[in-house]
Amino acid sequence: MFLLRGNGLALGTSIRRIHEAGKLAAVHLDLIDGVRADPRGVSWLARLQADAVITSHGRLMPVIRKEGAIAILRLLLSRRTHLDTAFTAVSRAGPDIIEVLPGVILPSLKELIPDFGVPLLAGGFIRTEADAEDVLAAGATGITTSAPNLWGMYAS
Amino acid sequence: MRAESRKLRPTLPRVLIADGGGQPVRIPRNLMAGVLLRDIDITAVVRRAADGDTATAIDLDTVRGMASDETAADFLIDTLGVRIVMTRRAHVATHVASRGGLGLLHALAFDSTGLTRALDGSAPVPGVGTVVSPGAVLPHMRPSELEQLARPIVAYGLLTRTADALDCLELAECVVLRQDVADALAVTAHESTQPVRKLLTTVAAEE
Repeated sequence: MFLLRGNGLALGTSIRRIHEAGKLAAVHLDLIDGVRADPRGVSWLARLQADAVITSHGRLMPVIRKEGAIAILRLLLSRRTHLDTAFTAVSRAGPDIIEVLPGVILPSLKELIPDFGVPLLAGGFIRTEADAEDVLAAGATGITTSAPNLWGMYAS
Repeated sequence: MRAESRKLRPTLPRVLIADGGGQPVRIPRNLMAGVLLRDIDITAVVRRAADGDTATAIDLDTVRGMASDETAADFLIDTLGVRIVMTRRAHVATHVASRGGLGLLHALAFDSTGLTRALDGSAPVPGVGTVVSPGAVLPHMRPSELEQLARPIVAYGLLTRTADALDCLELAECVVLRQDVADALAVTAHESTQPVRKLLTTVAAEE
């Protein structure tokens, strides 16, 4: 489960409940309240037993790994002229997983996105099974979505 | 008379062709298009204006050497004659509108959670529209999300195919395109049926 909102200083209970349900907890360092996106903030989330930390800050990837968590780099795609710079930064950061946003447009960009050699997740505006299938067909390993109708899509 | 001297708000074309100061932009004949300056130095912006090459719009936050503030907005409007200004700062967009220009406020639309946050608590201001970034997500938004966006809407970013641009033009007043995509769209317009040509040449909304 990806936790994108909430009080980062009191996430312990949520993470424990996620673990009790047999799931892994990934926490978005940049979006939760109360925790700064810096090495100390990463350490804090590791202490709370977060399995993965998501951030757009490439410099934190080694810090997250050092804390024993999975490092997920959020790659925000906004303009074509920014893509090359963004891809270079991703390669330099060396994440364990990349999450591309907005994921729903991945099919129209797949020829522009290089193979980073790590799993690629796609998130953002993926709301229907057709969206999900198109994105997976475009090369995503998985999708992240807040649409409950998709949460059980590949459960069986 | 005072009323006569008041300028109407500038008209937003259906297509803005992105100009980063490299190759000169060519406006295709059969598109209602203008020029958007972005990723350019302040000196190049001023030089362009001095040469009589006035841009239609400017992405203020990306002009190197220029602040994203009211003083810069006044300079663009009064000195350079650029009256359509994109910015991430709400107070600058509102200032542009108060000066009779069109302020276009960026709404980052990477996911629905972020978009909801971006739109929370923002009351519509006359003369301030929305830049949806990246524009390619516009056709994937729910009608309820589109309704929350102040018009006019500009779809800006990652429109790499003419089909995507046409989809966005059904929902937005304007799209920002690179020269190659604008050229391809012009060809499509030339070869297409009347409704598509109309889509590309008619102003969608005027104040």
